[in-house]
Amino acid sequence: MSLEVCVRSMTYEPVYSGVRSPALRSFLRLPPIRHRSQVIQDFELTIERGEVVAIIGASGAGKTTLLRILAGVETSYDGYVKLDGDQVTKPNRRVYLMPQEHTLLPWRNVERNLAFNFRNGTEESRLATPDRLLGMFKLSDKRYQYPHSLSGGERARVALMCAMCAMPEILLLDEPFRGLDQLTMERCQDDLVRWLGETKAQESVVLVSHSIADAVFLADRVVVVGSRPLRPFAEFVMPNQRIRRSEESTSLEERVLDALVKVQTGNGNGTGC
Amino acid sequence: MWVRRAALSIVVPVLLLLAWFWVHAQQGTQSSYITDPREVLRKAWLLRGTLGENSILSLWRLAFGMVIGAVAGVGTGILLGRQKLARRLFGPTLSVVAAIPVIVLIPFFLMIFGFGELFRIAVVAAVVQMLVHQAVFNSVRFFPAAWLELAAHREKTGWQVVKEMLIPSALPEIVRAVRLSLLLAWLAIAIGEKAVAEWPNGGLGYQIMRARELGKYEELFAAVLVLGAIAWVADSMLGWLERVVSHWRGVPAENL
Repeated sequence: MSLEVCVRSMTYEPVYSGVRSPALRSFLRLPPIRHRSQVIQDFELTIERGEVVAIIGASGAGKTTLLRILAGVETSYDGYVKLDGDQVTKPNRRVYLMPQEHTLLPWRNVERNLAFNFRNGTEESRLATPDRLLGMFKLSDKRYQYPHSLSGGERARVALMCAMCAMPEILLLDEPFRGLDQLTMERCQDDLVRWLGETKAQESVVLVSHSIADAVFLADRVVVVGSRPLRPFAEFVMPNQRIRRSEESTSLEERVLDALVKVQTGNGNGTGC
Repeated sequence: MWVRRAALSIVVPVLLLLAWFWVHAQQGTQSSYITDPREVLRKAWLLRGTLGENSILSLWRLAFGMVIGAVAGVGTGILLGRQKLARRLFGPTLSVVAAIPVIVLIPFFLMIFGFGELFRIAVVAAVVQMLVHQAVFNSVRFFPAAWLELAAHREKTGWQVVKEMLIPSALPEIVRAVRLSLLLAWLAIAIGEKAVAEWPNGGLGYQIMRARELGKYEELFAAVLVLGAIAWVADSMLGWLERVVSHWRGVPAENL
């Protein structure tokens, strides 16, 4: 199984809502309508089964749009997304997108949120029953809590568990650890690593982030991308030992950071590694 | 502390009753601008049979009408909120009809539903449907796209989206709309019962209208007191229901 992405070009089309006239918009203190612009240009990537790929780029680079293309949510682009050779044209069970704003359903408690995402019927789904996950990640006491009464960290972990319940082949994570403190973040990462071990590398993960530490810790491959239009700049293969704050990881982080700085300031062409 | 709560809620009605007694006492015996409250209470006791029967009749109609109206409102709200074609087709007509006061629509309702029980229920249902429709329609129209995308990823069917997402998320709004519509529903039931006059099966609304026309002010006030008490109980119950179904929004305990 592999996921092939090729986006030759994706353009942002302005959305008019209500007031079109620029003069009236400025009179009403409405933001000006954004111009038509290219968001993604010549992006190609192939993700193999069980691989964790991190896409690193500046804020507003178009990474979220890229993930939405991978998920089949965004379809107005020139190119294709193929999962095992089948074109992905609409959202489906095989790919799961966990958006930045976690989509916990506030009217359902933790257990029922997991149940909403649970994929029943397959042989492997026994691994990911809500009960088992709650026990595995020590959240059983939060089972009947509603999202509004959870802390930010718990919410992030429950959102991650929802993604696990779904048992997708490709898991797309859009800044999953954003806004968490260091310890909670590491706990979430450990949960994810543990889960990937559990599924015996059946799931591939695409992780979008602007945290280099996240990417170096989790990923097998890190792709540094340039901003607006998003295009690949450099690619790093990670030893992926999943050890934090080691000398090796620090030096890797520095190299990724260098590439990121280069692509921001526009120095040099992309170099592979 | 529901005892304290009940005690507090009864303070103002008791004061109003005392004020009524006082004003009546001031005007002297020969004048009758203001009805004697003792007379009203006596009348209420004398007519307890009719008042009770009529209340039950009206309540039954009201409940039936409200349930039908709420179900219809949820249905049309979801249909028009989700289906662009339905919205374009029926939206304008519905907003025009909603803008017309119910009392103007009475002749049409009489033509459609005939002079009977069905008509009275339909008037209540129409009023409730309009408010519930508005609430559900807005809630569905502005339902976050991220949740719909999640549903698409989980390959949920249209019916599952309605059942598991749209209705539960709109439930607080639905109950709030039903509670609001109670105010208009009382008016609607009175109008409906007046339009199809029937005695003794007229209902509380008709009894009030009839007493007013015949100049039986003691009976009028007695019926109004009963209606007020029923309305208060109904509103409290719906208020409680509203709090129950809104719990997931995390309303602070001190606001309850």
